[in-house]
Amino acid sequence: MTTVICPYCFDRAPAARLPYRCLMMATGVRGGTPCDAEPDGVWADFMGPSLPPSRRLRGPVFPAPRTLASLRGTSARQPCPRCGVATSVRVCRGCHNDFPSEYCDQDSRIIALVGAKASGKSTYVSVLVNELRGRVGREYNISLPAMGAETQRRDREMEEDLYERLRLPDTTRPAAMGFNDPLLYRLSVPRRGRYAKGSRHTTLVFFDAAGEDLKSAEAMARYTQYLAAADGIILLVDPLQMGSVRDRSASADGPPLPAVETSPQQIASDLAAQLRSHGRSVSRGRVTTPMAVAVTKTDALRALLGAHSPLLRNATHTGGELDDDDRLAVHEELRSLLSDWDSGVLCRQLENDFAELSYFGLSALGAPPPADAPADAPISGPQPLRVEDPLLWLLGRRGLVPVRKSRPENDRKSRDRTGKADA
Amino acid sequence: MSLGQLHYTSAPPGPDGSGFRFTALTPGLPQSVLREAEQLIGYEPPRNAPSRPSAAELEAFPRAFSYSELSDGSRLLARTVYTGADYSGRWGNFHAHAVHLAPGQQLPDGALPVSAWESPGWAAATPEGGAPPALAALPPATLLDPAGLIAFAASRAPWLAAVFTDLQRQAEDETAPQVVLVERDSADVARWVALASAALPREAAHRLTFTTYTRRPHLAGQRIIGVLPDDAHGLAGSGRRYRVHDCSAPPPAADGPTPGPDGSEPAPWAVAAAGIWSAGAFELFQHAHRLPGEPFTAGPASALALCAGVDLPSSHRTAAALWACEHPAELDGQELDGLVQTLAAPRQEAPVPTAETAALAELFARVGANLRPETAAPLAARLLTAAVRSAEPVRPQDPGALTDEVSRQLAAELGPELRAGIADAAGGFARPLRLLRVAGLLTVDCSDLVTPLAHRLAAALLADPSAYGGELHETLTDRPDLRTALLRELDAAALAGPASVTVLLERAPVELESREALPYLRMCGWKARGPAGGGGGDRNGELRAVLEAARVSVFAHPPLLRVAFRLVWGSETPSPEEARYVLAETGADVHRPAETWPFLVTAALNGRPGDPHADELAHELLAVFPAQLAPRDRAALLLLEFARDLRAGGAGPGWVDRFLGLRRAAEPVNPTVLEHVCGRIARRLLTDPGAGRELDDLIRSGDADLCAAYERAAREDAVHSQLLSEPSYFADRFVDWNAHPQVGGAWGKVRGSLLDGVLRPAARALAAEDLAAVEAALAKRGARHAEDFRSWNRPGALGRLGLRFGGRDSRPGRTAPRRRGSGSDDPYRDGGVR
Repeated sequence: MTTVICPYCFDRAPAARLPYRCLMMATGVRGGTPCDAEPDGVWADFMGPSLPPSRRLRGPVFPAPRTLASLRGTSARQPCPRCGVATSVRVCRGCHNDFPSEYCDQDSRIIALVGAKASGKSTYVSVLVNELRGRVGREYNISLPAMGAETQRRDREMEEDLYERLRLPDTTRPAAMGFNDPLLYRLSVPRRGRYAKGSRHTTLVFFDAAGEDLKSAEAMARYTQYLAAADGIILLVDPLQMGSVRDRSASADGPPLPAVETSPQQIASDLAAQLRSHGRSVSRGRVTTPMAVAVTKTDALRALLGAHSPLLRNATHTGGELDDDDRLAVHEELRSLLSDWDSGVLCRQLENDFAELSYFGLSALGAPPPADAPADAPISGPQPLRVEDPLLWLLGRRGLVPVRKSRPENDRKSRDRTGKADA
Repeated sequence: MSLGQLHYTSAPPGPDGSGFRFTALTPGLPQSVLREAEQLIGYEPPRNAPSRPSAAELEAFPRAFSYSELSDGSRLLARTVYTGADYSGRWGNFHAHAVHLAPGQQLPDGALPVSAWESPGWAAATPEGGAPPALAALPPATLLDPAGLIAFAASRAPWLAAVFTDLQRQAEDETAPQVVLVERDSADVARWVALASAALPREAAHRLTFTTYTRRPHLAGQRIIGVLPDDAHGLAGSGRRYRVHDCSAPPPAADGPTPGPDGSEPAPWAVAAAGIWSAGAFELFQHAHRLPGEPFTAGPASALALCAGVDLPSSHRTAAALWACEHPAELDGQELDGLVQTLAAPRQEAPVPTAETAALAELFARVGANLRPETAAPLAARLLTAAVRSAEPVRPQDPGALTDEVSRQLAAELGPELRAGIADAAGGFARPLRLLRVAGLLTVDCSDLVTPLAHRLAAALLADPSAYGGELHETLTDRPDLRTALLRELDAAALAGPASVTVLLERAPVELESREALPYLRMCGWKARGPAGGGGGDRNGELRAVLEAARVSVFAHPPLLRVAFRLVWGSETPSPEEARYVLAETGADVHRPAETWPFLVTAALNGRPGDPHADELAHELLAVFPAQLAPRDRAALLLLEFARDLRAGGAGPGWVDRFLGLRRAAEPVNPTVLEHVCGRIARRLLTDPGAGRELDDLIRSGDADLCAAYERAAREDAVHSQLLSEPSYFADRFVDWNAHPQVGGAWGKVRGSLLDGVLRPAARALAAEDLAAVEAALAKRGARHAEDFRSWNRPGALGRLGLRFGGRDSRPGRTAPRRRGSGSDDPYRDGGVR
């Protein structure tokens, strides 16, 4: 049975039980009188007190019938019991927000993006989607269309800004302004195996939180539900926010260092606290939500990396499989670096709070922004490095992409202290 | 008093964090207000705006100037401007400066929120020190100057009415759709808000929430939402939530006020407000707000607009006129003159709607007397012209309002149309009447058309008395010549058919006072409107009264008597007594020319059987109308006269033969006459002891009517009583009814029926002594009769047995009465003596 997680209120429900919303369309059915809009108190409460009375009027919501077809999830359209006009619009039980078409046809996976302000979350999402559709998508034969008009609009604008105008995304508005809807994508992956046919679909929900929303435990509380519902978290760590790196980079040529924002370890600590308080499953004191710790802007760290560092090149994804050895190599290198920076406080914090984590290094742009235009992409355009690694690792853990593991299990266990922190 | 302020922008890291946050606050602002405010003051730059704007380009970015209602009833007036890059070098920063107004609080001096558009009091950066300086007011900028607004209103004229309609709907219904204004410049949205704020009632204007710019209209909660053209595409088809007015597109082509986005007609108030703005007369709004009347009614605004010479559609002219009728004191003389002049001005549109003309007529009736002649005359002329040319009824006006010059012009212009219209018989009489009045007002000679019109009018009224209405009454009052002609027509109609005229006079208050005789009409008038109850059932008295009402002697005009007869008795016939009275009172001579003598004959022939007045009337009629009577009527009257003779005892022998002879001459005889005469003969046969021979004649004649009348008479109570009380009478009837037992036919049936049904019950009711007396009386007439009686009266076997066991005895000397209905073996029970 397909389980759907509402991307707005994160209520989890079987798809077959999601109510429908009447479209209030006039047809010749049952006299042709369309339903009248009526106040939707559930939705109005979710939207908040600033919603004007006229906007509270929406199409009537009616429950899904308990028929065999609907329980199987094959009943895409249901006639409104009042006007008789069939509708395919499903709404969340908890908040009555309308779901995009096809949202309820497959399971949902929520990927939370967290990171300090100016850590590059929006840029990362934009580049990640582009890579999944391009270079990485070819390797895995996956597709990733945007779902819903709002995501399609933002998706189009993100791509246009970054790849055509070479502009980095504007600063993300805090959620308090009510601007940030989640980004919804339909991930389609071909089924693998001797007898497998067709594709497997999953809804990916990215929530691009503003840095302001993660600057403190109080601000992060707004995201508790979202974080608690996440199937995986990608924590973006801007190395230029770490004291050791800033000290070393200060003398280097390049753009000026960014202002000091909330520290990654503070965010990680607040994150773990929020998840624990929300009852997220905990194993021996550590949160079990998989955590991909992605050190961004690795192009700025070249001076700190060896010539053969795996961080200097993209993963190959040969055969459409995620190379776990390659991931571990990256993991080890990043863990080594983080252990050196700021006395390894971030590593210790993360490994004490999260049961499953892996370190990644990526660069969304592949090069620093021009010195005279720090909000622009490099003139050559984004040349991303390893932006897909954190997401693929999270998807691989859920079996959504194949993972190739060549090393003996014992050897891997001995080295994979961080890949399986508790192993 | 300083206004509560808040500043919001993306600022460098500080003690309270980094990025977007409130950077300066007036102390004491509730946290709930800040939470809500944060959702209202955000800003996203236009998609197609320069992504890395220069300082000059930044100035051209739209301003998000918003006025929002918070959940606690307080208000937030905010101005948000794009500031480009933030402290980190990333773009997308903005600065919001907002003023919080507590519930019920307004800007100082009651200033409208929109007046703060681009006020110099707004700040585009966080004040130094983190605390906003005191802000007592938001002085208005010059950007919303009247001249600029008037020019803007003119440029947006095609959309004004539709937008105002939606705003009216919002003010009246909080669930009404939000208004989305698509403009290329947020300043134009502010101008829209200024236009709306001026037009709306003051209270509604203070409640009007708005934002001059947003990229997310579906997230905006204000009533007016300003968007750029690129951001309005997603709203198509959301008619239930939004009313989108795309003022950046070419205006829609439409005659008159532009319909709304869904094609709906604009509201009257909105059209008036749009007209005022289009004419640049915005100062009228304040005056209109002070005038009485429900908010959003078209009357006050339309009246003021028309006072100022602003052209408005017909419906508004109507509304203005009606409002002025209700509130004439609200307009001073100059305004009233202006209103009337505008309303009276010639219109291009044709035909002028009836409602407008009616409203103008009403207005003229209410305020016409207070107008200067040069102001009133055009309106009066217009109304008169409308009365002539409109297919709908328009009340003609007082001619006193017309100047001589205008009157002459109208007479020359409208004369031919007036005559043609009065003569037109096709469309009823309402319009000709109206035109006749107008012709009278303009002294157009139509005297030759009055009589034909009166003829049509009389026919129409007789066919439908309800057609007589106030307008006709007024016209008859105004036009005595028409009234005289109509009364003549009705008088003539009364001679031919007084009933229909009487009905008309009963239902319609037609004034009958006239110098002319009109005797028939006056009689109808008395009948219709005379004293309740008429003559109290005395129809002879009523006839006298009707004839007196004619005010003309019936002997001079005998037809009066015929009309009076029809009025008093209608389709009925006078009773013989009433007819005798009339005949005695008027004499016979007047009935001949009046042709009323047939009424009298009919009265006699239709008289109730047994009524002595009937045969007396017949006797009189035979005496006074010998030449007029037809043979059959005469024979019938002679039958009645014969009955009179029988009653009086003056008839000679041979009754039956005489009856039969007269009857043959009068065939077919009126049944009442027949019953009357036969009954009289039968009673004489039953009562006259010497009429045995006449009975023999009856028996021999076998006349069924006579036999039946005899049986009816024999079954009367008087006969039964006499049978019980007079043994000799009993004996006579026994002998009569046993006579000629061999005769069958009608008499045979009657005889048997009378013996069994009349005589036997009487015999059984008699005591033994009475029976003995009867036997004795019969014995005197012959022993055979007594023996026959005993045999006839002897009980059957069962009867005797019953009498024996019942202790009864029928033998003479026993007093117990005989039982009724004794044994079925009575050999005489089906007849008399065999």
